[in-house]
Amino acid sequence: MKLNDTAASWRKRPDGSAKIDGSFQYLTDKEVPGCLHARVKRSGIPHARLRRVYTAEAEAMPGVRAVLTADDVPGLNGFGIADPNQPVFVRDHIRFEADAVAAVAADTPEIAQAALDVITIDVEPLPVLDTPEKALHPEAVKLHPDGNILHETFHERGDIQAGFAEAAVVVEETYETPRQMHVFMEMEGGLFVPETDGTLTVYAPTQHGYKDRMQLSRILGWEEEQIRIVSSPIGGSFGGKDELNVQPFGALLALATGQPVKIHYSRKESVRAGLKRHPMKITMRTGVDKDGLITAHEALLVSDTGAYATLGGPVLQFATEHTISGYIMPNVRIEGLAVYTNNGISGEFRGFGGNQALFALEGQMDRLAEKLGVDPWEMRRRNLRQENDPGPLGQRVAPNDGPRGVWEAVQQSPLWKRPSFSRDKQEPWIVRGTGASIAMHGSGLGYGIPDPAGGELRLTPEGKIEAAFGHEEFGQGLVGTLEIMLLRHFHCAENDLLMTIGDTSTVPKSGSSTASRSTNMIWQALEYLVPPFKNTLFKRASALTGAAVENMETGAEGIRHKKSGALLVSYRRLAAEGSLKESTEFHFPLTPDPVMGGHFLYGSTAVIAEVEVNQLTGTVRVTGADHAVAAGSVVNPLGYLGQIEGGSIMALGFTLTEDAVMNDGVYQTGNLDAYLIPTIQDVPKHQAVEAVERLPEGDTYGPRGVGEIGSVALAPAICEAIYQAAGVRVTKLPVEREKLIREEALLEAWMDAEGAETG
Amino acid sequence: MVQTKQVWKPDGLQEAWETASQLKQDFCFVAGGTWLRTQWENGEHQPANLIALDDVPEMHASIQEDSRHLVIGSLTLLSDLIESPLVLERVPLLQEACSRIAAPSIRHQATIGGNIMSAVGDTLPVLLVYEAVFRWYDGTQIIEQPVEEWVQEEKAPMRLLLEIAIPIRERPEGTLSFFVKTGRRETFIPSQVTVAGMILTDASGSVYDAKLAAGGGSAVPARLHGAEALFLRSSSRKLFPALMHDQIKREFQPPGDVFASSEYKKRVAANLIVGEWYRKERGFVEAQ
Repeated sequence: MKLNDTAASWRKRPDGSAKIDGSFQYLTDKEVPGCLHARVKRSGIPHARLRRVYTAEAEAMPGVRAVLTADDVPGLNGFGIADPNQPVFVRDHIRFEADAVAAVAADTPEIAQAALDVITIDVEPLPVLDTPEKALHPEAVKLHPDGNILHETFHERGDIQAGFAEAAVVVEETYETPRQMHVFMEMEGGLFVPETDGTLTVYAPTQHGYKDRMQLSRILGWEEEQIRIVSSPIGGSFGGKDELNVQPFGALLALATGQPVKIHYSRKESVRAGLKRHPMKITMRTGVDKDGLITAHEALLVSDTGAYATLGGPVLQFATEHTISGYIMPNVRIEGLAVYTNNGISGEFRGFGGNQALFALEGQMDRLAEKLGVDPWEMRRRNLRQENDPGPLGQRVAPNDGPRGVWEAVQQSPLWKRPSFSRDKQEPWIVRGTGASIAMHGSGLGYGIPDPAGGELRLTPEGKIEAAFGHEEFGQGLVGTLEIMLLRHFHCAENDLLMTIGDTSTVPKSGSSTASRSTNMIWQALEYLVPPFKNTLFKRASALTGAAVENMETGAEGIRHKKSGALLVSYRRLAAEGSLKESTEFHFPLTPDPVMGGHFLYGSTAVIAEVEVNQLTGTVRVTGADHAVAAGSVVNPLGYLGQIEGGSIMALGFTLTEDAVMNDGVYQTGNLDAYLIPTIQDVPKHQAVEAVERLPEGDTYGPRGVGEIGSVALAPAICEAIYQAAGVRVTKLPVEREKLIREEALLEAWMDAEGAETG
Repeated sequence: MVQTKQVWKPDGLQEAWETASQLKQDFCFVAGGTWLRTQWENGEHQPANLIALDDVPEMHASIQEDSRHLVIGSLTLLSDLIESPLVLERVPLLQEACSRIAAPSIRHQATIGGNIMSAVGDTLPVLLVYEAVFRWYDGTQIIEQPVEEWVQEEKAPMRLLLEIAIPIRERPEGTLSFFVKTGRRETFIPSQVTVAGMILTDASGSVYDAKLAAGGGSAVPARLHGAEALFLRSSSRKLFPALMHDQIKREFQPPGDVFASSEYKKRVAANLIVGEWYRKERGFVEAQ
């Protein structure tokens, strides 16, 4: 399906208009009369022993209602989805410049800020470990009790030495990727309300409400049920709000003061305190035989995970698997290290380590093909997996021929017919090139990580069919996609439906909204829920009307006669017969083989990019970036296209401009005037997206999510296009203009022109 | 963070001056405020007093022409300069420079005076090329100062910029004039390197006048007199691009920053200027 040409089947998303006209209310827009305002005091120094925090002056300020430090955390002074090793408030060891040392609640944001200004700390500075190399030094200060390595991965198969011995051509290269920022439009924040019944309501965006509830209960020393988390809608997340951020401070201050507390980070604070994509250094050595078949593949991945764990381990695990991706490789040795440093925290981010790994892997494929003298796309084909091949780590996976599907489909792009190199006639220093890449991307969390799912269908007393899921809407279009699925199942009217998400008081546990899993989980849940739900409706209708169940179908307003379409009984009338609820709980489809982090379901993508390099300045413009994506059937064409285009533009930023630069553990790009994301002027005017919907026969897993796959494979395609255009191999992102500027291009043009005139 | 405690709104030049004199310190004049806002956001000191210049009648926001100059009030908005037919006709490079500053919403609020007083604004290379003159109020009288003298001042005394006077010059057929700004993305960017130039040739193609300037980033915008002299010695057919390239790189001394080295910026400036000449020589630039 060519998604750009299917406008007729586009459905307007239910939350669209209000988001466009600005009337949409996010959780961070919430305020209640008399609520206090909170601010967090940060260490301001990347590495030190903390001796003392002086808060007396702040506490004495008029209008200050509470000042909290490490002594005021009743439960666990720590959080982290995988390992709660980030302190809410530092007690003695400052590990990064935005470590929290105190938090203040005051009558106004100005008073809270003034109070922060008079909180001082007594510290003993320590050497700043601002690179994994420094942190791995045997004499480096231990950042955590177990040392400075958060996680190690290892995968080996075949005989790597023999593999290299068989190789006709070997390429070795080291690839480096940037510290990319999520740049969601809504910064982290929320409202924390102590209720009269002794419970706490938290209105704060997050990708997994129940996980926040668990983490907060640990910090407060409360039962989970005492906390209600309202977590959607969210003004963008991309992984950046998966982990706790403001919640510990807001919750503790609300309980300390007994008053509602509002907290909302500024962009500057979000930059310093928030998660980033892991910068990785990946050294790869790959060999192919004379036919271009991979004989050996070796890689060392080192990720800078920053000060604390969050999901740095799983991200490395994912990157490890995706250094193999959709290729068949007999002899493999992959090692990964996630290293703690005094840099800002790296964590979960759309693509989850795949982006870094694929930049390296696809870079290898282009270099190998060139060295061997074969077409790079043809060489990829020879190495791609077949439908029933095992997964990247040798694990059993659902039959998958996606890579071959997209390999073929991307050739439909008009960019495919463009020359791989051309030079501008008027401005000969402008050179153009094209490049392509291919990737397979896992969905779900992978083997070894609990990945539960679930949902509920209910008939409300008002006669609405209510679908309740613990998933979150952060702009990806989940609500719109859910509505489409429900309409297809029930053929009812939009106003017969009620979609409930993002509130632990009303939704079941569905697992997190991450890892391209939500669409797939909802689809599967409805497959389980709808038949028994309809069955009960029909039985009730039959009892009330005497009509035969086999003549019934669901439709607008109620149960209708299959042939005539006449309304037999309304949903409201059926609801009067008593409550009706269907629930399901299941696990994301998992490989039967115990391979840590190995996936079972994958999407695939192929990308072709066209660039224009201006050699006077080294500037790169991406003039085309078309995608083919294989992820099963398209549920919501508008949402699908939006995800691929959005992911692609994010990847364009990752490749060309985005890097949260740190020097000595201090962010140098404090705001969006120095950290540059692409604007509309930086993106191609049109991006063709082709969806390959075909799934292997007998596949029952439904549509795969496409939340990440648009972002994973563009960088290597752009870099190959740059090489074709300018002859420079890029090994470090974002692309350095200093490597592409070439005054000879100008002087040569001059000589050529003079020559042409005199000759 | 110190919050601004008072905004003063003098309604005359003398009153503005006296307000500043009485405050002595911890004050700042403000027009559009867009640059100040960015600086405060980046942690620069936010003064306790702001003296707003909007109501000072001597400081105007108009674009007028007398017999020899185009006179622009320092409070003129960048968006008004972009839309002015007079600016387009007389000083088209200024129009181009303004249209490459920040984003539309900012250009609707930012003034040319503010862009100049930032000392690194994109209008400065253009004003250097046009040999503009600043008209200042120094507390007692109005004084004139060529822009080039001002950019070279180490520490300027307190003055209020009233007007910018740009000499009106004929641009004969075949004149090459250009403004090029580069940054780390296509638009809404701080400049990394900005160059501007105007090169006049006679009927035989020989250069008889050349004005070149470069700036960008935190570089002090400067005229490139050595490169100009080299152009003057060249007829169009006998320009040695490599020599010119070397001269510009020697002369332009931008500081490096987190994102680009000084060497890179020099190379960009040289490439852009020589590239413009190449385009003119090949007939790819419309004569103005």
